[in-house]
Order: sequence, then structure tokens, then C-alpha cells
Amino acid sequence: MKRLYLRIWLAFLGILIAFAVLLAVSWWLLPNDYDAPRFNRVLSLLVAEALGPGTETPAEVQSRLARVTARMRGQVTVRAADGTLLAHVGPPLPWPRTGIERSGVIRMGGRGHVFAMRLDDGRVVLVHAGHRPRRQGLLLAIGLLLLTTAIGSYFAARQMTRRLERLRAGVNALGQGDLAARVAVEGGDEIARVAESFNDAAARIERLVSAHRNLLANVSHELRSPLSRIRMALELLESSVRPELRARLARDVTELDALIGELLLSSRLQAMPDTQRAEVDMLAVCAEEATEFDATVSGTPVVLQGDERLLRRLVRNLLQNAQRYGEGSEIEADVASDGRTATLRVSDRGPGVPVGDEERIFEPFYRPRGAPETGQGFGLGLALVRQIAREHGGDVVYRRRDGGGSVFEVTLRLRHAQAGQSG
Amino acid sequence: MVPMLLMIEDDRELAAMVAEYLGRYGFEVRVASTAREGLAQFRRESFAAVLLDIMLPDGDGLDVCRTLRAESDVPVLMLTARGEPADRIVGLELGADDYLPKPFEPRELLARLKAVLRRGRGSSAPRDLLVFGRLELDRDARSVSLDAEPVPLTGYQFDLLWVLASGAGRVMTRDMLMDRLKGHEIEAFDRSLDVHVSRIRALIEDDPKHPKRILTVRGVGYVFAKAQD
Repeated sequence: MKRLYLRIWLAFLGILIAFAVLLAVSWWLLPNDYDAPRFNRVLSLLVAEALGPGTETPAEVQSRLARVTARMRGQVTVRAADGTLLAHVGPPLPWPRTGIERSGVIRMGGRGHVFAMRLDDGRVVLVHAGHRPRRQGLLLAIGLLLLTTAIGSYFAARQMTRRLERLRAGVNALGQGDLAARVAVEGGDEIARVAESFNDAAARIERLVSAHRNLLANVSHELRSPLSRIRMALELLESSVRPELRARLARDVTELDALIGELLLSSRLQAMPDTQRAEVDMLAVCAEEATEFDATVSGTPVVLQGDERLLRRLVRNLLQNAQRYGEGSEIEADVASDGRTATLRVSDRGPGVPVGDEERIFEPFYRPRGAPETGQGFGLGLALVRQIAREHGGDVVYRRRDGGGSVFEVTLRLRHAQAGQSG
Repeated sequence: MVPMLLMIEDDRELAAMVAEYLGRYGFEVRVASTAREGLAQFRRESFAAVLLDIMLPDGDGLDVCRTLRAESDVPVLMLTARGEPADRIVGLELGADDYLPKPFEPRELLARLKAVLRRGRGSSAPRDLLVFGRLELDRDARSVSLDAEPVPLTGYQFDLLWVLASGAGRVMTRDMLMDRLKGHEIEAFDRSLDVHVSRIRALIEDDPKHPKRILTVRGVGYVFAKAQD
């Protein structure tokens, strides 16, 4: 697709060329003496007077003609109404083929302009002044005009669309997460209105996201402050007081804290994914996270551009899931790459997901059909895995494992352009 | 002398409990519940370290951290319940020595506090130092310490550990390791790499059978864990 400014410019240029061509054609075609008949009439009377009444001998006409033309260059020929040569200065000019019925400028092939004037007595005076016609000069002028306007209109079109491009850059920047991105409002036309609307929308989005961020920070603060107190109070309790209950309470605090963390993370990923991109070795991340779950790690080192904190969370959630529902079977994590995407598979030999729930398990707080209310739900773990995978240009799917068990297969783009980024 | 700490925290109940808890381990804790009060108290007395909450009623803990850093080298440990990962980065960039999200394990608070006190901020000369939680590697001194206790390693073992640790978070294949340890010709046998790794593990891992620092990736090589302790 052509760039907009080029299209505007070409349209402009097209119109201009058509105008110039029409101008030139009409200049060539239209008679240019249509406004001069009166002047020509007076002129013909004067010429007739100078040449004599018409009764002279050719010699007398020749001598009068020589006297009149003594101080001019060029050719002058006088012919009788029937074309007979009466007198001439310079080589005689031929009888014009057309246009002799009226006086004025007649173009004669190959010889430039010849003025032909019919006098009242029928005689015809032909004058060739010898100078070049000025039509080429006019064509040159039209050409120059065309060139100047073409260059001028190019810059005008460029100027108009440059503002559109600046607008586009602003929209892109906003799309990439720069919420402070605004564009300059130039002029008062439609583009300026669009720029204003964009700025208003961007300001609203920034306010909303900022409010959301504050809300999350406050929710986190309000929930975690009492948790901190509970955790601290537990530590200060006499160690003789029901140690198993204290340990249980401490675990609950940790679990609640983890849940708050996941809720906040999920909410943040939905509202304002501002992931930090850096090189992450997925195999190394798996090896590190696997130590907590006693999982076997295999594969090849795969380095991708991603948010290490989120990718760790993704691996941890999958391993945690396999540990919780794998019924003590061996957990395996494998990392591979095909050059464009990294594939992470976490497998176990547990009972697997109920048939028909293969997609539902990625919903937040999924609970298997018929599971008791008091039983442990799946929480946000797998929903977060999906969010994080999608944030990295990939996804996660559930597959049944040959011989029984589950495989969670995550694909991640090695180099992922963030949403809204062009090119 | 009892090390004195300043805790700038608006949650008075929590601050009181932290003071009681740390008191058991020989610290004296002064509590300020606003940024202004905290800075005033900091300027009046001398403290071994500052525990700084990030959300204060009269300002941002990050600003307090900036001010503290401009005025002194005192170790700063930031606490936050805000849950913004960006806070951690900003806090550490502003010169905080460590960062602990709420709710924290009291024992972790104690361990981190001891670590920042031990490290101090005295030497301003940049040292080739790698710190992974309780483990510290000093390239200039060619020494390794765990919980401030020196770990006896041979020259080759130190180099091996340094190569692994400086590539923390990346899987190092056996070839890469052999390549980077070329100088040590006597020990260039492939198997000896595993032997040395297990010796290093015996010295720096809490449970060498379930290593958390140097991890094996079967058939590929080793990875030094980035996130430890």
C-alpha cells in the first residue's frame, strides 16, 4: 500500500498535469486574435493608405513598400486578391492556404508566424517578422510552474501526513504501555481533533490504570498488614503452646499470602501487563524451581526474551500443580526449542483431569465436578500459567499422557513483540 | 554494645512485635511511625541499621530511603506490603541494602538483618563480590563464606564455583565449564568435574543430597541457582 502522503501528492500532481495539458491544448487551439478585429480594421486602413489606393503600378507599390519597410527587418509581400505578386521585400511569401478570408495571425507550416492582412480592396499583405514564436517560452513557463507546484505540493502533502504519522507513533507508544504518551495538537483541522481525542483517551486510560494500580497497592497493603501481625504474633507465642497448631497457622498465613499475590498478579496482568523483558534460560529456571518439588529436569538450554519473575511463577505453578494432583508420581519437566518457540512440558502420572474439563482447568478457581466444597480448589495457579504464557506470545494446553497421567505443554515465543508494537 | 535499630513503620502493633522479637536476639529497636519522625530520630541518634516501611502516612518510604542514603551509609532494609515488583527494583536502586515483602517470616527478617549488618556499607571501593543470600564469593580474596563462616575450597574449586556463580541462572554445559577452566590442566578429566562439584556441594549446600545452589541438569551440565535462600 502506498504511503498516504504519496497518494495525496500523486493525486495533486495528476490534477496539476491535467490542468497544464488542458491549458496548453486550449492555448494552441483557440484563436488568439478574437479580441482584435477593430484594431485590425484600423490597421488595414492605415496600411492601405501607406500602400496607395490600388491604382498604382507594381513599381510604385514596390517603392512605397520599400519606404515603409526601410527600418524593419523581415519579409513583407503584397499580393492581389487573386494571389498575383504585386510587391515584396525579402523573398516573397507564399499565398496562405487557409485563413485568408480574415486578417490576423495565420500559422504557415514550417515558417513560423506570418501575419496576413486583407485590405478593403482585396489585396493581401503578408508579413513575416522573422522572430521565433513565443509559444515555446510559454510551454517552458507551464513546465516550470508544474515543477514548482509538484515540489511544493509534495512537501505540503508530507507536512499534512507527518502529523498523522506522529499521531500513529503516539498510539503505538500507548499500546506498548507508555501511558504518558501524548501527541502535539497542531492546527485546528480534523487531524488536530483526532489528536485531541487521542490525548483525552490516553489521559483517561492513564487515570484508570493509575487508580487500578493504587487500588491493588492498597488492597495488598490492607490484607498483608494484618497477615504480617498474625505471622509475627505466632512467632512471639510461647513455643510450648500447641506447636502443631502454630505451624498450621503459619502455613495458612503463607497460603493466604500466596493467594493474595496470585490475585494481584492476575489482576495486574489483565489490566496493565508491564512485563520486564530480559534473557531467561528456561532450562535453568526449571532446574532451580524443580529443586523445591523433587522433579526431574531434562532438555536443552533455551534462552528467550521474557519476564523472569513471571516465567518462574509459571514453572512453579505447573510443578506445584503436578505435586498436588499427581498423587506422588514422578514429576518430569522438559524444555525444548524449534528455533522460534520454546516448549516446556511438565508431566506426572496422576489420575489426570476429568474428561471434558481439559480447558476448564485453566479457569480461575476451577473445581472438578462433584468435588467436595471443602476440598482444595485449583485456585488461580493454572489460570496464571495461561496468562503468563499468553503474555509471552504463547499458550498452555493440557494433554493426556500415554500410559496415564497429565502433560501440561507450554509454548513460549523466543522473541515476542509486545501487543500493540508494530513491525 | 547492643546494636540499635530504627524501625520506621506506621503499623504500631507490628512494630512493637518486631521490637519484641528482635529484642530476644539482642537488638534494641526504636520505632517511628511517620517519615518525618523517623528522619528526625535518625538525625538525633546513631543506628546500626534502619528497617523502613515503604508506605508511610506522610510520604513514600522510597523518598525516606533516598534521604537516608544521601546523609549516611547506614544499612537500610525495606519492608513492603504493597506487592509491586517494581518497588523492589526502585528500592534497591535508591540504595536500600535489602528488601523484604510483608508478611515476612520473622526468622528471615532476622537473617537478612544480620546479613546487611555484616556486609555494612563501609568499603566504597567496588569489589568483585557475588552474594547469593547467605553465600558470598569474593574474587579478589579468592574466598567463599557461608553465613559469614569461611568455606575451605581449593583453587580449582573456587574457579569452578566462580564460573558457575557468575553465570547464575544459566545452564552451563560440561564443555563450557571445561573451556573456562582451561588453565587447570591436571584436572581436565571429565569425571573430575562431577567430583569437584560434589565436594563443593558438601561445603556450601545445606543438604548436599538435595542441592539448592548447584543443580544438575541431567545430560547437559550444571546450573547455579539464581534465587537462593
